[in-house]
Amino acid sequence: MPSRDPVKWAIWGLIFLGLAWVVVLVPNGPQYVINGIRFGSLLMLGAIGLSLTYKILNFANFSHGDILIFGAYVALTVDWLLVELIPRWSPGLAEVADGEVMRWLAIFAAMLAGIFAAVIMAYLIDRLIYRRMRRSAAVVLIIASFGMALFLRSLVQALWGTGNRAYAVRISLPYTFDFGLFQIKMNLLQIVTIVVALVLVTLLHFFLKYTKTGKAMRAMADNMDLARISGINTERMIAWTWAIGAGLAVVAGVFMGLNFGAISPNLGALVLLSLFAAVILGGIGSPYGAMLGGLMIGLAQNILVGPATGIATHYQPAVAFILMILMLLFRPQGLLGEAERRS
Amino acid sequence: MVQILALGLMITTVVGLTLLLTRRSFFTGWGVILGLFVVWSGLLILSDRVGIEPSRMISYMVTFLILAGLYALLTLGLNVQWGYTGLFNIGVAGFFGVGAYVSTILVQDPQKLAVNPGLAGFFGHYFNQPFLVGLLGAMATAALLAILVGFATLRLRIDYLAIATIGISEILKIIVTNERTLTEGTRGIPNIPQPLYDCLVQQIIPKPPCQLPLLGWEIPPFLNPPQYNWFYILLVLGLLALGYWALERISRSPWGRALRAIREDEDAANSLGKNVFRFKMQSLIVGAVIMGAAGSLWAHFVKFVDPQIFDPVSGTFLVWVMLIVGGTGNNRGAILGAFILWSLWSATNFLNDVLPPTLDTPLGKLNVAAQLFGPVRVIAIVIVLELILLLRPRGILGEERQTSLLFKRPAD
Repeated sequence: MPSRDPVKWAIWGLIFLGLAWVVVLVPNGPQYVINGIRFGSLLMLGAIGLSLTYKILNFANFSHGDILIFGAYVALTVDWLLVELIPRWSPGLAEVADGEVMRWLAIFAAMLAGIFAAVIMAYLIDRLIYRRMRRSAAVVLIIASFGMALFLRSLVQALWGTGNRAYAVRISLPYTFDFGLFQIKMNLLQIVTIVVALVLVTLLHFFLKYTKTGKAMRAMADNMDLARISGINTERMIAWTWAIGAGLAVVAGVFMGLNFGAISPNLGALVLLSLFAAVILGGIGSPYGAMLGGLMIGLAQNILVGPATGIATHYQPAVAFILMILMLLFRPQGLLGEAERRS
Repeated sequence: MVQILALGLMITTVVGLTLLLTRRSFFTGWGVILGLFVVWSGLLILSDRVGIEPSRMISYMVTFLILAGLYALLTLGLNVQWGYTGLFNIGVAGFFGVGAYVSTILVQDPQKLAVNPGLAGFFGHYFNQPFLVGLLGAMATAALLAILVGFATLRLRIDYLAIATIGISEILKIIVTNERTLTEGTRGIPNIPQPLYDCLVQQIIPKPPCQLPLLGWEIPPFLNPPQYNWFYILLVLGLLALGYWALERISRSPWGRALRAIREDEDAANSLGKNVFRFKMQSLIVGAVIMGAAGSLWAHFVKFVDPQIFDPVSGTFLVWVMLIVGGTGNNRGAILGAFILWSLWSATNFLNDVLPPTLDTPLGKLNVAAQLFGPVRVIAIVIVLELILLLRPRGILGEERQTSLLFKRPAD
């Protein structure tokens, strides 16, 4: 009954008014919107896993950001290794387009390696720790996941050091798209970012909607006991949840590293805040809510902060946090979520 | 050698404290204190024999006790929130750090900063107030933060409070790092004044002695600078004792019982007419106020704050492990856990002196202190935590059955 929900429509109204203001009145506004969509699509990928684990395993997973950064660092090592090795294997390929083709191939192969490592790590943590606590209260799981977050961060610091590290892909010159009324500048990397995110989200949609595993996962998210009664292998589905969540998170992490220019061990913790904000904004537990929320947070972080308003860009996580607090005050179930209010 | 002796001092303190806090009778308590003094004196005599000045050992010990006492205060604050009420605050560092910064800004004397040649700038926003104003300001700000977080999240599932508290701690770190005109950014604020320092410590240039308020008696300064920490240890341990006593009282009062009822079953407490939201908010505020006070005392002891005070490992995680190890819901357990973990934490600092500063590995040069030692220590503590969560979730002391003060126990 959407018409009976004034708060929800007020929020939608505010969002569209804000977008209209930026596009029409702010100089260079469409460019900010595109930047927002670019970062939003990355947050979207990261938030999906957080939302799935919240709904299926029933706890807020504080180690999600650090899984993301762990996978991104594995990809970093593999990336530089491949950039060293490919010229030896095939000198011809290394020449094409001044090595750009090779570097892109290397980053995608490295991303696969990073996904593999992060999924294994997430699954191992689940088997060793979370699985034994599945009958405990949610708070025990939260403490355990907070501990695992620090464990992964320390592991990354011990293996790769504390400084900033960059991937091998070079920043290329931007193309200018002229639409008459306004111009948008994007380089190859930024276009690839948006395309990859859109493709993955579409694939996830079809996976959840049409495959047997996807349907079973949605059933588990709706009602764990009913799912178990109807013969769904819940432990296998939980393994799938970790695989999808960690895998998408690593894609987000690698592309964040590419878009920001570098990754550092603390990036995971900073991003986690925006991811939680995205999940809460969209409505906790629904993957589509997480996608919507990620997009919203990305847009807000690029429009409300920066040249359009004059606030320093360091405050991007703060914007996400303030939006989250406002959402919790006025509509705690999020834009797409159903009511879960207590006491 | 210094390390071994200092370790001995720490271990005996912790063992003594364990016996003291788990004592069964009056005489074991005094016996333990007597035993502690004997062992300490023995260690100090030994250190004199091997050529280490006992005063160095003593000053090390005093510093250790002050910092451990401040951590115990933090753990007590967390115990009110998590142990009594089940409020999941993983932004302890936020309340702690905001206490430290607010107190510093209120108490700092602009003159003291201007002396430092590297820090020329605009210092008009330091208020040069007495320590007590800083302490109260720190407590009030921490309470305000708690109200802000509480209003948004306390009506919802417990996860939301966790997300909001960790969020506020990260945001505060971003603010103090970037608002350089207010907080000096990553350089930090040095030379923070200490409470009553000018009154108690003899200065090179003598100052007029302080007067006791109301009575008007003059107190001549009677301490030399290294002895000042003796006054500070009294201050910290006094506040710790006060906090412990007050919390023990309120945990046995109807208020404390209502909190525990909410922790065990919110709906049942609600149906008995307890305003769950209000009790939770009060508990969050009480905990936050204690954390803010600990932050203020910390800043004035180490005389320096920088954004590292919001570090989630030493500011939040360590406090959680202290509480879980010591015993959730038990104030004595909280203090014991803080002393045990802090002695482990500072004892492992000695490893840093033993290990080489850099290592040559096949993969390149490795900075042992930054890259290996810190992370490995955190990993070790995480393993301790996960093992305790899996094997002994109630901690060393665990929660005790608590009844009303009016309810007479059957004769022991």
